Amino acid sequence: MELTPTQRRIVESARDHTLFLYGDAGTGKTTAAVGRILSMIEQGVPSGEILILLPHAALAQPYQRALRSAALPPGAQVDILTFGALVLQTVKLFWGLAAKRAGFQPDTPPSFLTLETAQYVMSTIVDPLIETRGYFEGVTISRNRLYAQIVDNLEKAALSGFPHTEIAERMKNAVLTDSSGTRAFEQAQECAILFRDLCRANNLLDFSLQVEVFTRHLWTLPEVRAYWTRRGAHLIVDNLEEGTPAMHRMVAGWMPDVRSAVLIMDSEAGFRRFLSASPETAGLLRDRCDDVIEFEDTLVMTPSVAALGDELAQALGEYAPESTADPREAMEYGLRRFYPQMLNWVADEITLLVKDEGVPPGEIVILAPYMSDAIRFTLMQRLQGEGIPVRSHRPSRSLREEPAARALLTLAALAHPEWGMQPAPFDVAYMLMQAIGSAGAGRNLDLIRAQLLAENAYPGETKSRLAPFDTLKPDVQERITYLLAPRYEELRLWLEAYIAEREQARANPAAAPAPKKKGRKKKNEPEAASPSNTGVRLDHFFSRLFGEVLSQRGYGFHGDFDASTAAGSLVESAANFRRAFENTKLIPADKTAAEEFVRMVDRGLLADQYARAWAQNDQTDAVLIAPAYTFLIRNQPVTTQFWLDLGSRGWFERLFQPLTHPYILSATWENNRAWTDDDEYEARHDSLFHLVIGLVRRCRERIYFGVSELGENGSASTGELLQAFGRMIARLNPPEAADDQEDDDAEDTETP
Amino acid sequence: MLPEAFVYSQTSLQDFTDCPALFDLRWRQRIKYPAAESEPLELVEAHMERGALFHQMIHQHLIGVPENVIAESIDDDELGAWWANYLASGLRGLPAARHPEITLSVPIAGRRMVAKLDVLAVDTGRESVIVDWKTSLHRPTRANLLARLQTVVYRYVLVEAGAYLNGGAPVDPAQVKMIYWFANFANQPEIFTYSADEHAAAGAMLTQMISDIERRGDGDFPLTDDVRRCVYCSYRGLHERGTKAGDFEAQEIGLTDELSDAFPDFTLDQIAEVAF
Repeated sequence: MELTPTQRRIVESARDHTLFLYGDAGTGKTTAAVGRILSMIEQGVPSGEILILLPHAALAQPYQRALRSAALPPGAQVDILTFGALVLQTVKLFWGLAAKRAGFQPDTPPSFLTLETAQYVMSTIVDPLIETRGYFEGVTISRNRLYAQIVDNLEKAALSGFPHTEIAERMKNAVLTDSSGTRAFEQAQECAILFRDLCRANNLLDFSLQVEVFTRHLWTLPEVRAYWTRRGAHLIVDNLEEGTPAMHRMVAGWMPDVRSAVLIMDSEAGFRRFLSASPETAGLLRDRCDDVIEFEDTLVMTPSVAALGDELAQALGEYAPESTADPREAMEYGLRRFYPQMLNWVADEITLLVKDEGVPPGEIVILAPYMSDAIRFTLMQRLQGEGIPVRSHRPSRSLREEPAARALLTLAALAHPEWGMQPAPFDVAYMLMQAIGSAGAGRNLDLIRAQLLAENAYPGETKSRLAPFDTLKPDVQERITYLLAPRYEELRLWLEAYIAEREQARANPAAAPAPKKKGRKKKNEPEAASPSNTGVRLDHFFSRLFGEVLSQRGYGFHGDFDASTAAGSLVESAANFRRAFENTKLIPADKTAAEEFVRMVDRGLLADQYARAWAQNDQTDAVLIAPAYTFLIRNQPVTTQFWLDLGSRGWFERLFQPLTHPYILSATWENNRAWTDDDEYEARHDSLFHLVIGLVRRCRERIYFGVSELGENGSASTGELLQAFGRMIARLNPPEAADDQEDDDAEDTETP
Repeated sequence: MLPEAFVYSQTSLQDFTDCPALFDLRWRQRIKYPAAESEPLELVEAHMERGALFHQMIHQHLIGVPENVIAESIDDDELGAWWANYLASGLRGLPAARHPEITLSVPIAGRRMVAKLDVLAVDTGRESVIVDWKTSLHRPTRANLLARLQTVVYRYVLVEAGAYLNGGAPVDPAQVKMIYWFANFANQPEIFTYSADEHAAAGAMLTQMISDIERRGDGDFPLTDDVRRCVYCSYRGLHERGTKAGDFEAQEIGLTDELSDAFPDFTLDQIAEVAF
């Protein structure tokens, strides 16, 4: 690997030094740290004593790539951990030392909540208060976002280091609001306290409570410190600016015990501020190091891309351009009246780049502040139609929107008539289409025939079980075809057998297998009678149905790996839910965990995160379509970027979050200060500037700006980024020059 | 194709040995196919949870968490019996320097291969002992254990990568011992020694196997001829090799003890990414 003199200095600096590397993204800090790690290992430093700590998993790639190389000598595996993983491992391993002091039951193992299961717990607190006492009546966001924001507040308190009982006070002191808003803050506070108490009483640990237990009760113990000091005698922490104050405090406490350290921080970043990232507390770690080394020269951008970044910075009212290169060499723009025309321009340009200029698809990214299904679908269709591989990263897509998952949920409702969840005939038709699927020409169960089958075999209002095929009218049987009938019958009979088995189990609960009970069980103590003894393990139900029927030849899941992946994610989500709650009193007495799971998925509360894994498994040499921040957080530069929808206010505005606040609920906020309009403008402006400059610094050669006069929703585009872009173009290009850039085939164009 | 950062382990190599098609689906294509592998699922799950907890308890014990604190987490009689067996004989005769849950990594045939050892106990310059805790219902035969890739890979990796735990000196194969300790058969551990000849043979065999895998392209991963294995495979429906999952109680070596190094990636963050 060719290193710059600054990088060589890092690699060769004394093995017992602590270094703080600071500079813009793309200046080679991570490469220098990787080089130092490899050099240390080659010189005999035990790799089992090196620990790499990151704020989030997406940043691990350069380290994984280097450490999994066959060129590296044998040794222990270098640990790469996120802060969250380190906290979780510590709490699991040392639970017994903290449980009693932290107010938990020491003889009961902890249950660790995921984001989705934490939101479920929050729903059990918030829903009754809304329904019986009219809480949050003035708050106009969905219930799911309400739960998420209160959970988020608890995380912010834990990560920033203030008591969770002070959330409302901070918000009330800072935000100018009416009595309804003040009440909402107080109600959110009450819910946060109730949530924390409920978790403690049931040994449930959401991320906020894991952090609290770790920071207050474990990180202070010599055994814990010794354990991590052994594993991380040589500590590397990258992207400190994306880390939280809790992580920074932990690193500060670790530093006196390390043999060496490299702490790395990007300037003009901190993109995860909404997740409590704190560049301010990150910067304090500079004083804990022997040497501070500044990185100045970009290793990613061409001079013209750097000049373009300077021009954009100036247009946003920041620093003036220093570069002598011509920024116009690094940019193209397409001006169109309508949004679809702009998307066509993007697809045409990418086709030219890949087919005529030989740019690898994986070196192209398409970015927008929000990535709607319409944008994704249009661009993916167009590019795939040209034979260009494309992948999309849209982290919040819900599993319930996947036909395979919906089919399984419908089957679950049909298999458990005692739940009283009669699926709509339309859902049954879709289920049949997915489950029975297609098996070649002439053997497809298309939507029309699926609907016909559902209407006749499942009247819905009168009965919730599927009728035998031979009881259907002969003309219906004929239209469905006798080729499909055996599969329908096999599925129906499997469900009937399952229902009969369950009925028998309910009639004779003693014969039913008892679930493993948490908490100490004395010798010969009988299993306590519990509704879940005869309850359903939905993940097991899905696994059996999938294995015994749906994955078999002729069925819709057979060989359909997208469907099987969705099914796998649903199984995982159902298992997590059951394991977290089956031994608690959180599930209503008249319901089972399985019913509650289905109800919650249907509400969009659960199985929201699982879709992420699919996109991550996509091929990598493909054009990436992603929200701008998601691309930034991945921290992987590309050759060419396309920025869509410059007129959208999404580039400038924060998400509407009436119950939480990334600045007021942060470690550096001065309590009792008011959040003013000027603060809001400044925060938005800083975010836009950091976003723009962050994107530019992750671009090697060229940025294409897509501008449409009318935005995706048909309204005029007037956003701040478009205005800044207009100022930049006016400075760089006289109007006649701008005209030259317009495509000849543009139907209707204007300068921005 | 295998991902660029793919790392071999005893689990993936055992999959290839058992059925190349299984390796292809699970490791090359990373396909989720969530059919049950063995039944009854309730029993399988309880056993796996108990096994995972037992491994964690030993890990806690070896990093200094007091015995009485660990014992508080015991929540059933079977786990209690395993724990009592472990305290009575699990560490008997082991060198005093004990490294729990240690992952060693070696370059081989252009890739890396890892072994995640339950415990490595070292008497510097004299003896290096790998201990693997087994919680399976049945005690496997010596011949079957010897044939497992785990026995081959762990000893090989220790000799290649264990020098830093041996005072910086290379680990002599003759000083390596691998002990399978059975929680249900505490007085019948299976002990394997090692030799330079076995080490050379293991290196040649593993190199050849990995090179063979790397040479193969799509369609070059045939199904096993041993259809008895298929009932325990979640992909059996895909290959029309049965509908029902296998009988858990009939399995000689369960999944519980071998899943721990199946996915050597680091744990992901607890904070989910959100949409912007």
